[in-house]
Amino acid sequence: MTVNETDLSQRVNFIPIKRPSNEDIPDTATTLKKRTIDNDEKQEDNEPGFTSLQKRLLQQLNGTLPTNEKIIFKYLQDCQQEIDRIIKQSVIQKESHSVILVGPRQSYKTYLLDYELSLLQQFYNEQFITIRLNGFIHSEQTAINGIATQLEQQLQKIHGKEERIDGASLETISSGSLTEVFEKILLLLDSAAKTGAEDRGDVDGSSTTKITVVFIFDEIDTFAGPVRQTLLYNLFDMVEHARVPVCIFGCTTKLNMLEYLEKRVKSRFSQRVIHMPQIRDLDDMIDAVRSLLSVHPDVSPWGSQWNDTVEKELSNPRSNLNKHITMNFETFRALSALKNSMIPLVATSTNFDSLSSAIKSCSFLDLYNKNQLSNSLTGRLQSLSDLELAILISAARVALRAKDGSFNFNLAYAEYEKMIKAINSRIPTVAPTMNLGTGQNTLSIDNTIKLWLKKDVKNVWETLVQLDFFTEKSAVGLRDNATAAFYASNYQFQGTMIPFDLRSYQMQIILQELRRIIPRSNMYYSWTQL
Amino acid sequence: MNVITPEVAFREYQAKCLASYISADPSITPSNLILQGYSGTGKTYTLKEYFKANPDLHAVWLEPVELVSWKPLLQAIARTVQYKLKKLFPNVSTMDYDPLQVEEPFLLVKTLHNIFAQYDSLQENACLFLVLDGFDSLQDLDAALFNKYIKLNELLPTDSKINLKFIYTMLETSFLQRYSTHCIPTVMFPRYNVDEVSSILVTRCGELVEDSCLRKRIIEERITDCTDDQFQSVAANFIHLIVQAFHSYTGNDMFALNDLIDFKWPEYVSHITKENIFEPLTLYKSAIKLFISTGDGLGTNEQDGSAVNMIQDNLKNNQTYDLSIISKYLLIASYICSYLEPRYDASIFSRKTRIIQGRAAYGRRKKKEVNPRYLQPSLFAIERLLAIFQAIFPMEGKAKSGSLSALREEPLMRANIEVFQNLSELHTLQLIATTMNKNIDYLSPKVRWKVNVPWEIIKEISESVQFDISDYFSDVHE
Repeated sequence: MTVNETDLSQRVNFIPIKRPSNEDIPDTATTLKKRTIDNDEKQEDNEPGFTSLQKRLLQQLNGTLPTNEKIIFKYLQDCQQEIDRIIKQSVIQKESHSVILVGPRQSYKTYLLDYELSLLQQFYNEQFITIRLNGFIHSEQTAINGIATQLEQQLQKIHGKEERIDGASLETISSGSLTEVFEKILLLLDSAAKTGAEDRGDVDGSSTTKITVVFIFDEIDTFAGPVRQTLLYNLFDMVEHARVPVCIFGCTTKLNMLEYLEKRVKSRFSQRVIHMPQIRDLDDMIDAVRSLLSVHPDVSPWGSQWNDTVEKELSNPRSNLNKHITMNFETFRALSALKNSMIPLVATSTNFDSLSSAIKSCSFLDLYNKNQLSNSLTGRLQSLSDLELAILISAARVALRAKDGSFNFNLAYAEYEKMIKAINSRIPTVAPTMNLGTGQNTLSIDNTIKLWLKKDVKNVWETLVQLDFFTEKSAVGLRDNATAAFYASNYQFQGTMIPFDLRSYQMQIILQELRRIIPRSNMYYSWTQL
Repeated sequence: MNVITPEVAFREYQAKCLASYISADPSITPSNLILQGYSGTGKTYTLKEYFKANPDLHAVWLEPVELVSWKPLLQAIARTVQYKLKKLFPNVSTMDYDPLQVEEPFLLVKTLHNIFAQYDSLQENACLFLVLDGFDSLQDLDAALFNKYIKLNELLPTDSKINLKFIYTMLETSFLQRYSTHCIPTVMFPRYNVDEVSSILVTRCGELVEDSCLRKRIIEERITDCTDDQFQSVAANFIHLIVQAFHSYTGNDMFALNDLIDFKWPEYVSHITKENIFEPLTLYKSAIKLFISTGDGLGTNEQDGSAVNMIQDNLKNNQTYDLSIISKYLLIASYICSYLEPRYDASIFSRKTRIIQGRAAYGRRKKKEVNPRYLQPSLFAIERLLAIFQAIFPMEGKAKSGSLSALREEPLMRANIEVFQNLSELHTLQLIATTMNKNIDYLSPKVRWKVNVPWEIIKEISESVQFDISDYFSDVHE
């Protein structure tokens, strides 16, 4: 484990320093100053018509258009009509309903519900209140309080600020046991229906003045846990018996949602499950992209020209845009992923020409895809320094030889030491000699590879662990919920007691894979074979 | 898009993406944005530069790593958002909500709802960006937590004038991949490569030149004929040298290289003389020691000159683990127990070799391929530990050998109360471990023991009592 003073000489290169009073400064200093000024050019060639087109496109991609103009993809339209029917029945005709929407993430469940509700909001604003619960945010206990809070907030909006319903303030509503609170909520709903009637002075029949309560449960499966499911039971029961019309929408990603429900809950549920339609073929996908990218011609003077460009690109099966759509269709089949990549494409364009050339070349989408993969295992591997790579390969070699594929720092370091020594023994070395004339060591002869100390390599080891190349054996990883995380951080486990050198790890990448990624020109390529 | 894209070296793409995802108009800003990249890849820096270039975008920064657990994080969000809004719109009269009441995620929704409701009188919609810098560094992180945050905006009122937008930075790809189905816009920050690292670090030249130690040295050495630009290039040379010498050690970790620069600069400066300031090579040669060892250990370096060796000797005597002699021998004995096979015990430790017959008596063994010291310790029973301890512990008789009083003295160390006290101390120090962690009965035969100390440390310990432990392991492998 000796280190030669001469190790560095081969790699060192210097910036020449000139004697005083010379005109040019070394380039490093000048390059620094260049960076700052470049920004001013942008803003200028923004035509006013273009900005509105760009904004419109971004709104379409972000899904934030005003209600009347919202885009509903063709493949979603049947589903949308069904939701529309149910929601209108309960808000206008005051029927009670319960529905569960099943579909993967980003399949427009919440989007459609929001759309329908905001449509209704325009004409029947005070006829219903919406209560949103999210299984991630509300637990079964807090959901009741959440309902109470939202009821209060919504009713205040309808009745005005100062009024309290039946003299009951929110604190009294949300106090007490679960059932008490729930009773109060039901009471509140009844009284709300009454006061609503008085407020508007409607005399003819109370059925028209009742306020529908629309519940939207995101992640409804979290409320259908193993114990009792009180909340769902009571709410579904309300659909059957309550005096106010209640409409419950549950959203979930679980296909077998109904199996989660207890018998008594299931029997109260209407059994109406809507499976969200998916993109079935490439035409669906292209249609969706078309409706995302084409704008109403009134939006901007560039509108129709833009629509033509998009149409041309979409209809040409060999266009770059089509290539990307096909790629997305065959891999993720996720419109949202495509939308995310389109946003910077549109936003970075500065005028119409640059936008249309961007959509033609789609070079930004290539960049985007490349960036998304830049921190993958391969990307990380390519970013390693030579020592890090050497240690990684040594560890992979040890892991491959071991019966159970595990290894520790000691073994990997021993392997590294052995390999470096083997390489160095093959390199002819000349012992540093004293130059009699100057009394200096000769510097440029020794070409051996530096063998780093064990204690230095420990640092490298930690970097590799941080970069997820190794995982500690029997490490549990991320806990599922807060309680488990709490226990994990408060009680010591055996694993943490083992000294650093002896902790056993497992590889996330094996030697053969390393061989495929590391370029042949690399010094350590030959190590990637046992 | 009325945003300015800042110039950040080697982060053009990322800055562009930020400019397209973050804007003052809430309708074209996604509610969640993730910036992912490993440590030292410029996430925070780029984001800060972005907000600096666009002062009309308002951001609140929180660092989850400081907040430890999910509840303080929720409370901090309520607190900072409320405070920031107050500062932004001082004309709006508001009521204070106690952030400590936020004890549940849904209470955060409620509080934010209440806070935002106070700003309904504003003319225009405003975006408030909440940056959670290093979300996955939260200590009590669990898989359900991130779901709560990305869904939070769905529960906030859509017609509110204030729009809260979340920006997360995170380190781990494995964490991000858990949530990939949510399709949240993500900007990746790849690690820098060598050239990028050195050209970024060179920007520190000015700072190094300004450093007081250089000034002092210049005055001491009476260097007068040197311009500022030349000092700059001395510093640039130094930075290049550090990068070339230590890049393989630090990898592309900017922070580590920065630390090395800070740490080694004063010493490098002390080698500058009037003559070598214009001769980079001579300056490099005179300061070569700096570039050979990292010198960032807590102790001293083994490979440095003889002066250091002396200090190290001192250290060895003083520092070795403040253990009593009995503890040290117990530890050595337990190391032997864990790493030597019991069947050779008799031949190694017993003085009556003839008890055992056959091959075992000679202690001949097949040498192992892998050095057993590199592997996990094996378990042993306490009786074996005490026996070996007895065998190796040196007893010095006070009486002359052969005298009558010598007969009265114990020839061997006994496992007395002191020994067990030391044993339990070693156990509390976690130098010796047991199979069970709690309520152990030290004398129970069911408890199995193992040593919990690596070779390097045990070697130091045995040297401090002049016990040559490597003798016992000399013929074990290869």
